[in-house]
Amino acid sequence: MLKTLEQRTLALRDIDLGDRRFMTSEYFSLERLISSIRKIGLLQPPVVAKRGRRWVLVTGWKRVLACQKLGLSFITTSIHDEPDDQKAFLFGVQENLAVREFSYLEKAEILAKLLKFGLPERKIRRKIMPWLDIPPTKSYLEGHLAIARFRPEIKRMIVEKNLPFSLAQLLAEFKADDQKAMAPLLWPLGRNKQKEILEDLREISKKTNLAPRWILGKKEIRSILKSDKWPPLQKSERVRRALRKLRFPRFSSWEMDFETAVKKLDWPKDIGLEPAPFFEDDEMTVKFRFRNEEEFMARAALIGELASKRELRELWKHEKKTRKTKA
Amino acid sequence: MRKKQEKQRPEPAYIPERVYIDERCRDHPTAQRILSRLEHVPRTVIRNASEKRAILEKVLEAKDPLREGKRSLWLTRQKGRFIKPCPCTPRYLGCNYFIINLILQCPLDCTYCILQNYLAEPWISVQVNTEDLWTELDRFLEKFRTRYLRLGTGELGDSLALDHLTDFSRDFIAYFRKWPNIDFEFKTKTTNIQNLLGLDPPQNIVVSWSLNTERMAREEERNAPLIEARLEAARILARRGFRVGFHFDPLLRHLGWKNGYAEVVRSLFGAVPAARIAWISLGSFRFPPPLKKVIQTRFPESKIIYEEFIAGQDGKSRYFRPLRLELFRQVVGLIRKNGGERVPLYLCMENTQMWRDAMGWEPKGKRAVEETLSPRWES
Repeated sequence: MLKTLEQRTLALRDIDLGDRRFMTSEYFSLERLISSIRKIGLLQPPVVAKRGRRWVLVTGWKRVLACQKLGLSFITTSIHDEPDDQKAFLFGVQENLAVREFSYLEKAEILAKLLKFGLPERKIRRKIMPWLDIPPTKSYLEGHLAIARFRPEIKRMIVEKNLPFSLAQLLAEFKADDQKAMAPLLWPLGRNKQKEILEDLREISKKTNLAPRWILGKKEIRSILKSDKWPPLQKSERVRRALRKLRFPRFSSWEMDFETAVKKLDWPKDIGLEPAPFFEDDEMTVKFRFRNEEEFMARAALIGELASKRELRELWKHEKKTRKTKA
Repeated sequence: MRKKQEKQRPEPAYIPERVYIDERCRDHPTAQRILSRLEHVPRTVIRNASEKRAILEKVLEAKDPLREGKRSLWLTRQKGRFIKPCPCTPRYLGCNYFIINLILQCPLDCTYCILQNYLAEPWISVQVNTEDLWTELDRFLEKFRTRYLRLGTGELGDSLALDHLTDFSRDFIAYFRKWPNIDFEFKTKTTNIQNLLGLDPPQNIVVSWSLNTERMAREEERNAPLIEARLEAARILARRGFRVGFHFDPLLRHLGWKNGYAEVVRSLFGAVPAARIAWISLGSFRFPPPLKKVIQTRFPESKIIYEEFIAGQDGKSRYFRPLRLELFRQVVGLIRKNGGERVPLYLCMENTQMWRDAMGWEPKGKRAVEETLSPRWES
């Protein structure tokens, strides 16, 4: 026969909200739940367990905090009569799993807490990780545990920016101090640029043996970070570009040479000019659109004018420099 | 860690910790030959796909499945073709080389090895049905009776690393004696040349070594003999009358690379007379992007993936062109200056522009590259 939990009305003040041993997520919004409780009341009681003289929440953090915000003094709860923390926690995980999916951050917390509650690593991999839809490998376990160790501000960023797992994993490769230094930089950017910054920082760091926080302390980057001239998004963007230059110095200098040459030529905007992708050879592509013979002739004449400019050869300035370099 | 690695050199010849034998080939003479040399190694006969899958799952559970896989040797049968054109890489210039895949995977564990990302099975497989290979070769080579061709075994595994177990080198040499217009190449990093020492060297057999700077060999080519030992093996075989070859592939940019390559080129020409060198190839480090993650995970101390790479026309990561050009010019210059003026050189997986800039000429296609490597044979 299925066991049902005893229900009891408790004073909210008797629930120890400071005891977070069973908590799996800290960063959430309560607005929708508050509005729902206001309209139809609390339908699903939170689950509590007795620890010493206090009641500790097993599941239902959002519900309890929403009731608290609504100024309620009492709440109906389900009592889970389980003295063992590991079992009580697993009960809470199961209860949640039945009705919703966990985010990877919550999964990370669950795995870290189970380890803390003494569940052997092998059991976590074989039993719990498949429950949570995580491949049961050591590297996935380690990856999640590293995420669980993030500082609160990083966890908040993950939730608020909806950071994908792959980016969180990348971030987890850095030390806590480096993560702290990087967080404000990453905050304003979109995912692709966040990824680019993290990868560039990691790779510059690996190559130079400098910690990322030292790289961010380099003069050219520090001056951007300290300046009041730009809003956070522009600052992050500038730092991203500075890091690109550090990561790909030679390629960046070729790009710059090319852009300078295009500017000197005063190249018209409606005629496209592109070097080979990544300058893999010295070919360039000129592209333009036209609707009739006159337009075609006009564009061709413009290209003819460009061809007679002396500055044209500067488009291949970098090539010539490289060819001249003796082995 | 690295010092420890250094002390372990030179590595003894590979002995697996376990042998798996495909039931269909347990009585095959080649399997029996190999097993007779591994009498003390535990062996298991694999009867069906599910037994194989169970072993694969176990290996994949290991922290480093590739390292774990290298401990096992599988004796099995090749179902498809043995001979394939070297895939080279799209949009870059090939050299018309053909590969024979008799051994898949390798006991060496180089950080940059493409096989980490290429083969589905982590263990070292030996295809024992060589009789099918000889038949396939007979048919294949019939088409090339009147023209020069290059074939080799070192694409999906080291040509000689298992030779003390397989004796394949003897078989290949015996076979290719009757095909003087075909150059057959053993590509290796090992010094496993015992089998070759007792043989009369045919002039269409080339034994070649992959070379790098001493530092890269020490840091990035785990379980492989150091450069000095490789060159000593080359010296011995060259003195015995074998033609030898060298592959500076992958050329790696690292601190002190110019001096490093200068040293190894000088040592090369100190060890082997230029006249005995069939060819030297140069290829800069390139890799399919997923290999980066594998290297980061398996060799976190390696820095070779943190140079300036771009996405090449074939989608592989390769050094930005001027950086490749520097590498090629430097090493080509060193080879020419140190006595290799007339040694045939070729670039592996490069575009024609790089040929022009680094070598001073531009081949019209892969047959043109092939022709430069066959100066002594004419149809």
